[in-house]
Amino acid sequence: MKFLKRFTFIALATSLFVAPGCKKDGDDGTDLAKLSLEFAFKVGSEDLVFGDNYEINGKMVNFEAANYYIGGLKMTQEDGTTIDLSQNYLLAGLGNSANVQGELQLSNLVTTSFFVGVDAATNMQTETDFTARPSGDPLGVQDPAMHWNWMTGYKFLRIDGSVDTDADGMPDTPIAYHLGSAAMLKNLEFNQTITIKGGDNTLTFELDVEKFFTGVDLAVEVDTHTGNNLPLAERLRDNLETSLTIN
Amino acid sequence: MMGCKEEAVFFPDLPAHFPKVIIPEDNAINQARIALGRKLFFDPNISLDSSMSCLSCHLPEFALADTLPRSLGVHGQKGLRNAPSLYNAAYLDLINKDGGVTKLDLQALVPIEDENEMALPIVRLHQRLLKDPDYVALAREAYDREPDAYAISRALATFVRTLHSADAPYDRFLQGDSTALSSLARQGLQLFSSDRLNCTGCHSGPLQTSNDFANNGLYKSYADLGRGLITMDSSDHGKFRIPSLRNVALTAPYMHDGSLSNLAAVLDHYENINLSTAPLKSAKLRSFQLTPSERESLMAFLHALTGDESRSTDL
Repeated sequence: MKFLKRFTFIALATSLFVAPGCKKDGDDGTDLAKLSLEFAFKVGSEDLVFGDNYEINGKMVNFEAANYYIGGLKMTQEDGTTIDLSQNYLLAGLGNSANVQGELQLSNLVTTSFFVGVDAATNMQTETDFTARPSGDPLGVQDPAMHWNWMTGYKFLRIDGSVDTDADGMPDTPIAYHLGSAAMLKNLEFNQTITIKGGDNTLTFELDVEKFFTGVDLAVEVDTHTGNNLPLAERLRDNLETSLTIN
Repeated sequence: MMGCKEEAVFFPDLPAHFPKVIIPEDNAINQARIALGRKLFFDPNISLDSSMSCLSCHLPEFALADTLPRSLGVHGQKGLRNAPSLYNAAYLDLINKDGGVTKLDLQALVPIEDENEMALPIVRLHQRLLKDPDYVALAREAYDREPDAYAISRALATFVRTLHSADAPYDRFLQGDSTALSSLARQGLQLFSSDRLNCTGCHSGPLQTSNDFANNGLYKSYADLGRGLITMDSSDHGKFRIPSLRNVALTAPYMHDGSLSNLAAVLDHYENINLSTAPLKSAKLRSFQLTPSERESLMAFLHALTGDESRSTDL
C-alpha cells in the first residue's frame, strides 16, 4: 500500500470535482475525476420496480422495500492508494446514491471491501441512538424504518413485499426479511478492476434479489426478523456472497 | 444520577427504602418534558387511526396494566405479550419482557410502531404532530426541537419515570409500622421469604423483582422465545424478565402471555413446578406444597403489595 487517504461521502447527488494527485501523460485534457456510488436492485436480468410482480423460485412475488447498510468501505487502487471510507455508512436503496469527496487518483480500483451491516458499537447505540442523529444521517430515522423498535439496534438489511401463496396470481401474503445483530454482519471483498478515468466514474453496488432468495420458498418462509428465525436469516446473510456484486 | 434537589421536586413521596431514580444525563427531568410526555401519553393521535393512546393498554384502574391476556391493537390484532404495569418502570435497565430495548428513552417506540399495537411509524407521527401548534411549542420548550422521534420517545420516557408505586401496606411495614400488615399477611411474608418457597430468589427487594431474566417452567416449548429472541442463545429460550410483584393483585392476567387468569392459578403453577417438563426452567424454582392456610397467608401478603394510589386515574 502506497499511502492511505481520508475520504468522506456526500450522500446526495451533488456534483463535486476533485483535483487528481497526478496527471497522466497523453491525457486529452480531462484531468479531474469524481466517483459516484450507486445502488442497483435487480430480479435476475430485470430492474426491480416496487409493486411489479416477479416469479422467484416458482412463486409470484412483489416488493415494497429493499434497503441495506454498507459500512467499512475501502477501495484500493492499482497504484497502491487506499480510499478509506470506513468511518461512514451508506444506506443502499432504490434512488439513493452518494458522491465521494476527496482527492482521487487516476488509477483503477482493484480491490473493494465493505460489510453489509452496522458495527457492534454503533449498533448498540449506547452513546448515540438513531433518534439523536441529524436528518440526512443514514443511521438516523428512516422511512421505511431501518431501526428495530422491539430491540435496540439496526436492521442491517430489509426486504419487504408480498407473495402469492394460493396460486391465484395475486401476491397478497406479506413477506418481511429483516437481518440484524452482530451475527448478521457480512464482510465482502471484491478483487476486480473498476476503471477510474478522468471525469465521471460510477461504482455500482448491485443486489440481485432473485439470487438473494436462493433456496428460499417465499410462500412458506415468509419472514425472518432474525431472532425469530435465525436459520433463515443465516441463509440469507450467506446468500449475499453471490447476490451482491459491484461493477 | 439525579440530585437530591430533583428527587425532592419530582419524586417527593419515594420512601427511603426505594432505590434512587436514575435519570440519563441527556434527558434531564423538568416540568416541560413531563408536560409533553403526559400530553402524548393521553393522546390517541399517536396511533395510526387515532383510536388508541397509552391508556388503552395501561389502565389506571389496574395499576397501569391491561386486563386482557394480550392487548388489542389498531387492527384488532393481539399484541405479542401481556401489557405490564408501567409503575416503577424508571428502574428498568433493559426494557420489555425480553430486555430487547436497552434504555427507557427508546421504549415508547415499541408500542407506537408495532403493527399489532399502534402501528404508526415514528416518522409519520412526527409529521402528524408538526401540524399541531401545541405540540410544536411543547417540543421546542422541552427539547428545543420539533416533536420528532427524539422528543417523542424521550418525553414519554420522562413522564413514565414519574410513575411510582411505593405506598403499599408493605412499604409502611418496611418503614416501621408493624400494624401495616395484618397477622395473616405477616405470615405470608415469612412464607414468601422462606428458603422452602424461595420466592425471593426472583422477587426480591423493594421493587419485588431482581429484574433478571428467568424461565419459570411455564411451557416445555415456547412459541415466544423471550430473551432468546434478543440474545439468539438457545439457553435463553423461554426466559422473560422477572416482573415486579408490586400491585400484583390488580394486574391479572399473569405470565408473559397472560395465560394464567388469576393469582390462584399462579400459585397452582408454582406448587406443581415439579411436574413441569420445561428443560430450561430456572434452578431457583422449588418444589413445595401449600396448606390452605399457607395459601391464604401468601395471598394476603401479595395483596399487601397494592399501592394505595395504584387505582388512581390522576396521573
